[in-house]
This record gives sequence, structure tokens and C-alpha cells, in this order.
Amino acid sequence: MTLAALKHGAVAALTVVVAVAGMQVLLALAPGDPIDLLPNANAVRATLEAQWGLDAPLWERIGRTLMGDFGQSLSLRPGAPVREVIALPLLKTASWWLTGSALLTSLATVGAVVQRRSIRLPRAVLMVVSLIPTFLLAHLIVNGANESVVAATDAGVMGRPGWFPLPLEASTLRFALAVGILAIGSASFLDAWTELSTQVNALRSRPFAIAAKSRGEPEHTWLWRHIAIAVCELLAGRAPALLGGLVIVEKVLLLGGAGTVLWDAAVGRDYPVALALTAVFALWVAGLRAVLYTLRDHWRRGQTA
Amino acid sequence: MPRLTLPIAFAALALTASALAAPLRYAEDAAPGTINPLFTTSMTEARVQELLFDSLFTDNRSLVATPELVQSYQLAEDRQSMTIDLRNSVTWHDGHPLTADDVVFTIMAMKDPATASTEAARVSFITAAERTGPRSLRLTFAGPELSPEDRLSFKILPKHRFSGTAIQRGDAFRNNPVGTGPFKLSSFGADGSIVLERNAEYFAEVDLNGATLREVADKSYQAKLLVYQSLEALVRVIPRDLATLESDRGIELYPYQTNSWWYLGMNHQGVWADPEMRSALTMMVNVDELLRPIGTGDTVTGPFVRSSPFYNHDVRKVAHDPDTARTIIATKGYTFDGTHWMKDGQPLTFRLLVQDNQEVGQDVVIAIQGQLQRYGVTLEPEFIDEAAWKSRVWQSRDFDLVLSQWTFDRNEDIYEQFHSQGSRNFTGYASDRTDALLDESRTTVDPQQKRSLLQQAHASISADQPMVFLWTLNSYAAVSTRVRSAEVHPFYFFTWAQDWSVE
Repeated sequence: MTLAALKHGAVAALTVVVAVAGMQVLLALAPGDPIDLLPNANAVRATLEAQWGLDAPLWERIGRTLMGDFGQSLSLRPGAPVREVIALPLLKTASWWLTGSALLTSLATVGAVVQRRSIRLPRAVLMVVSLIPTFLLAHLIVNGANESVVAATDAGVMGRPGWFPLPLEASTLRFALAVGILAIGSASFLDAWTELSTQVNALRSRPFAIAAKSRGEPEHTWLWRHIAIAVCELLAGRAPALLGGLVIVEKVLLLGGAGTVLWDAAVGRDYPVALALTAVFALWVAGLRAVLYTLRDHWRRGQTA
Repeated sequence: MPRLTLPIAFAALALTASALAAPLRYAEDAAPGTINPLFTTSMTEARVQELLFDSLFTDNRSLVATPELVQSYQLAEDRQSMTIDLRNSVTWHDGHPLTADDVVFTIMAMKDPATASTEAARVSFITAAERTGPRSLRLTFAGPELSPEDRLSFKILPKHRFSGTAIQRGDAFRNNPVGTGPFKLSSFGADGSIVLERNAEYFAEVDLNGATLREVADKSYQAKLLVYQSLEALVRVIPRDLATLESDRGIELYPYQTNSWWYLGMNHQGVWADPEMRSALTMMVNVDELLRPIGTGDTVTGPFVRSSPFYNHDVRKVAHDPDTARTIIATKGYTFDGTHWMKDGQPLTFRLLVQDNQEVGQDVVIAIQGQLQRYGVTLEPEFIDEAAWKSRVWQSRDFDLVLSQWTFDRNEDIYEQFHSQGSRNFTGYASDRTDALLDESRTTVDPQQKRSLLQQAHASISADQPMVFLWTLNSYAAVSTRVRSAEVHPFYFFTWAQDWSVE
């Protein structure tokens, strides 16, 4: 257990270092810097380079980020501590990501395990919808809802509903849309369902499962223990894609989470914010994978023993 | 006793109406990064500062500089200094009285190199600011000033909120500002939303019961929010939403001129160093045809908008004349192979840089590309973000052509763009005649002479064709009809917002 945890932890740490270094190099290669965005860039360049630490070598800036010294925002919220700029968006993104992951896992597990005829149609519908890329699905849903309501209200068919246009404030509807699109779009559901179905079918054909069935033991007494491993693998595998998808969903639904902030920071050459979010995202995904893979290895060894 | 009933009832009614009056909700594409006027980098920030802070002078409805924080002033005979007395009833939002020290401090902070203020250039003409009394001061200028009131519109800051004139961007003032303006900050949310409340102590009457700024990145979504009464005002309507908003009875469109004009700039380091090639390009571009699909506006022949006193109406527009353009190109050693102009085996091709957030920029680029393709010239457009633009265009001049626009304040000072020593002259245009005219226009104190000099500069620049001058686009603000007495300032938008009210 300890050795496996150390191995997965080392991989996670390396991933964070590579991600932060990669982002820093990309930003350094991109033309322009945050001082260029100021109207009197030439006049203030020397002063600001020293104030903002832009004259420090790349490795030093990378090192500071990895040590958790994120510094101050340069262009998004000039002078504000980066922690202050990213805290709320990260919380929002974490809530969407967690709920989206839970929804995806639940839907895929139910779809893979339950054989009832009654769920075949909704499952098929979800699979078809799942073929649509996340960005397209988000656009279709948002624009479809908005335009049809505009047409209906203009035609006098209905009054303006309270939920339209999608409110700027946090709302259950926007939350549900974000989570749903994230869990289903870009083949998320299709892939997850296929993966879990394969595992469940393989389990059902194993001798211990056949023996249990012949003894008349209900399936849930053994199935869930085994399926937990598959769910761990599924979550670990889908974590980066779900986080990437969330950036798109945030942009389309104007949600203002960490993905949007990362995008704006890159465009605005706000190096400290972009590096801090990259570090957090990398740690998030790599750390989660390390934990899940460690758990999986532990359970597998338990089963073998 | 009965005689008092009616006035009391009216007073009660007025108080109730005032308490029930709604604040104004408006949208911006991006949340302000800071509300400290020393570090303004966007119009979003400038607009919200207009609500929170006051200046020494501001524009009246006729766009003439008029005293705001100033009670009285006297310009010296030689126009090289000015004495100012401040209003004596003005207090900061935290209750401190406004003093001459605040004005002197603001100017010193803007000039302090350690502050690295983005607004430093606005006070470069002031060489000294000294307090002569609790509410009086004297400003000394670098040279004679024709109309210093026009240049004293920067926002005044409270000295007591800072420890010195070297101010960092991270100072707490950035999201906790204290001004003397008609509104004061109620909250600056982590999501960028800003809530302002009416300043009950303001020295003039304020009808509007507060304002709320919300960040809405999608412009077409902004229009929907206005239509469905989730907002009361849009600062700028994009052309494709104009028809929808125009037909809505609940919305009023307010046209305004922004003192900005579009251009197709040429890099004079390459082929465009040749004035004849610049003329050829100008003759190939059909400006009227480009303008028609993107909105209403006026074509321009030089570096001023048509309503400007400096616009030279005698300058004739360069006629669209592709045949002459072809002849010129042929004399430069290019041969036409039926599709392209070729020289040394290479087609005549130009890289056109455009900022990716340039409104309708993509439509214009496609149209220009089509027009030039028709005459055998290939355009390779590149859409880049603002940082890349500043780096590639302003710093390294890594372009053949650029499509962009210049926006000016009321002073319409084109020196930086067209003088050979101008800091924004990235095309590399240089003309002794234009330099002389611009130099003289900066030093003259005779308004008629300044007008004449700049009109001559217009003619001189137009003759040199350092760029293809395109158009000024009409801008429209959209305001709900529930907003009364709405009048928008063409640049700062909210200059007269204290007189607005929302039903």
C-alpha cells in the first residue's frame, strides 16, 4: 500500500511540475506580456518589470508557484492576491465538477447494471445525446431554450417566464444545465457506460458469479464490491476530460468559474493567475488519480489474497 | 392644521417614491480589474469611475469643459499657470472634506515614476502644483495652454487614504475606493459585479438611486437581458442587435459619436514606403462597399471625425480606381499572371493583423480580402489577442497591414499617431510638413490658428496616404424607457447619470 501510494504520489508531483513549467514556457513564448497591455507600456516597463518580478528567470517563477507563492494578479484584478482572485471560481468549478462526476458515474453504473426493459429508451437517448460534443450541446441547449422562448413570448403564446433569460445570479437551472452537459456531452456517458458494461458483463461470466447465481444469492451481494474498482478507474480516467469540458461549459453558460478565469488570464498574460490555476488543476487531477489508483491497487490485492 | 395635510402627504409620497426608485442595472463585457483611477486600462473602468469620482472640470451637455470640483479659477495672462479655488461643500464618501492637498497629491501621484500610473501622460503638461490655501491651489504648466480646462478632467483622489505618492497597484484602494462622486461603492463582488449606492452628501442633487454593474461577456446575451428587463442600459449595441432593439417599444436607442475612426494601416518599412504603392492600395479599396454591410457611419478622408472642427472638408476622397492602381503596380516591376501580381516568382501578398476582439473586424477583413483578391492581391489575415497586438504591432512592427481604429478624447491630439516622433506612430509615417504643423498646433494659444493648422495637417496627411482612412461608425446606447432623463456622454457614458432615474 505504502509503496503504491508513493509511486502514484511521485507521478502526481511530476505531473504538477511538468504542467506548471509547460504553462510558463507557453506564456513566455506567446507574443506580448502584461505590460504591453498598458497604454504607456514603454514609459513604465522598467518599473513594472521590477515590481512584478518579470525580470526574474523562468525557473525562479516556476519555483515560486510550485512552492505555493502565487503572488499578485497583474492584469485581471491588478494588485489583488492571486489566492483571492481564484478562490471563489475554484469553489464553483469544484462543485460543478464533483456533481458532474457523480452524475456521470451514477448514470453509467445504472445503465450498465440494470437490465430492465424500461430504461432502454432513456439510455439510448442519453447515448445519442452523448455523441454531441460538449460545446455544441451547450450551445444547442442554451440557444434553443433562449430562442424558442423569445419566439413564443413575441408571438404572445406565453408570458415571459421567470427563468428567462437564464439569470445572471447563481440558479438551480444553470447549475443543472452545466452539470448535465458536462456529464453527458463529448461521449462522456457513452464511454463510461461502455467501459462499465464491459466490466459488469465480464464479472457476470466469472465462475464465482455463476456459482453465486446458482446458489440463489442476489447479485448486489457481490457486484458492488467489484464494480467499485471499475468506478475508480473510470473516474481517474475521465477526470482530465471532465475538467477540460468544464472550461467550455463555463464559457458557453457564462458561469465565471476557474476555467473562465484561466482562459482570461492566459489572454491577458496574467502569469501568476494562469500559473496558479494550472498548478491547482494539475494537482487536482493528478492527486485524484493518485488516490484512486492507490485505492484500486489496494482492493485488487485484497481480492487476489 | 388641515392646510398642512396636503404638503405632508406630498412629502410622504415623494419620500416613498424615492425609497422605491430602482437602481440602474447595466452590463459590461468584462468586469473592471481595478477602480483606482491611477491605473485605468479600460473603458469599463473609466465608466464606473465616472460614477464614483469627480474631476476639477467636466463636460456639460454641449461637451464644453465646465467646473465640477472647482468653485472659481483664473488663468494667468501668459496662460502658463492657473489658480483654482475648490468648492467648499464637498466631502469624500468617508466624510472627510475635500482640500487642495487632495488635488496636489493626485497630480504628484500620477507623476511619480514609482507609481507607474497609466494616466501619467494626462498631467505631463503640469510642471508644478502647489497649495496656496486650504481649498486653493496654483498649477504651473510646461508652456502656454490654450484651454487647460479641457485637460483637467482626471479624477481627484483622497490624500488621507494613502501613505505617499508612490502607490502600488495592490493598494487596498483598488477595490475599496473613496471618491467625491454622486455614487459610493456598496460592494465589489469576487465575480466582478459592482453595486453603487446614491451619495446622500453629494454637493448636487442625485436622482438615480444607485447603479449595478454586471459582467456579461456575450454581447448578444446583453441585448436579450435588456429586452427581458433584467438590465436597464447597454453601453454599446452591436450592429446585428440594432433592428431588434429598435423595434422594441420598451427600449430607446441613443446615437452618439465616439470620436473614433477606422483605418487600414500600412507598415512603411516595406513595400508601403513607396507613396505610389500606398496610393494604389487606397484606390483598390472600395470604402463605401465595405461600410454598407457593417452599419451606419461616415467615411473619412483624414485623421479626424467629420464633426470635428479640425476636419478639412476641402480634402477630396480618393476615388475607387482599380485601373489606375493596376497601372501603378505594373510600373513597380510586377506582372499580372491572370490571377496574381508576381515579382521574382512571388505573388503580391500581405499579412493583415487584426485584433480578435475588434467588433465586426472579421466581416471587414473578409470584404477587404475579397476586394483585393479581385485585383490580384492576396491578403493573409491573422486575428490576434491584445497582448500579441501590442507586441507585434506596437513594439516589433511585425506586419504589412493592420485593420484597427483610433479613439480620441475631445482634445483630438493626433501627435502621437502621426508625428515622426509620436509614441503610437507604429506605421513609421514621417513627413517634415506634417511634423511642423503638429508641433505648431501644440504650442499655439490661438484657437483659430490651431484649427487652421490641424486642418492643414489633415490635408498633408491625406496627401501622403500613410493609411487608408475608412470611416466613423455610429454608436448606439440602448436604455430602457423606464429610465427617465437619460443622456449619455459619448466617451464616459455616465457623466450626467446623477440626473437619470429609473421608474
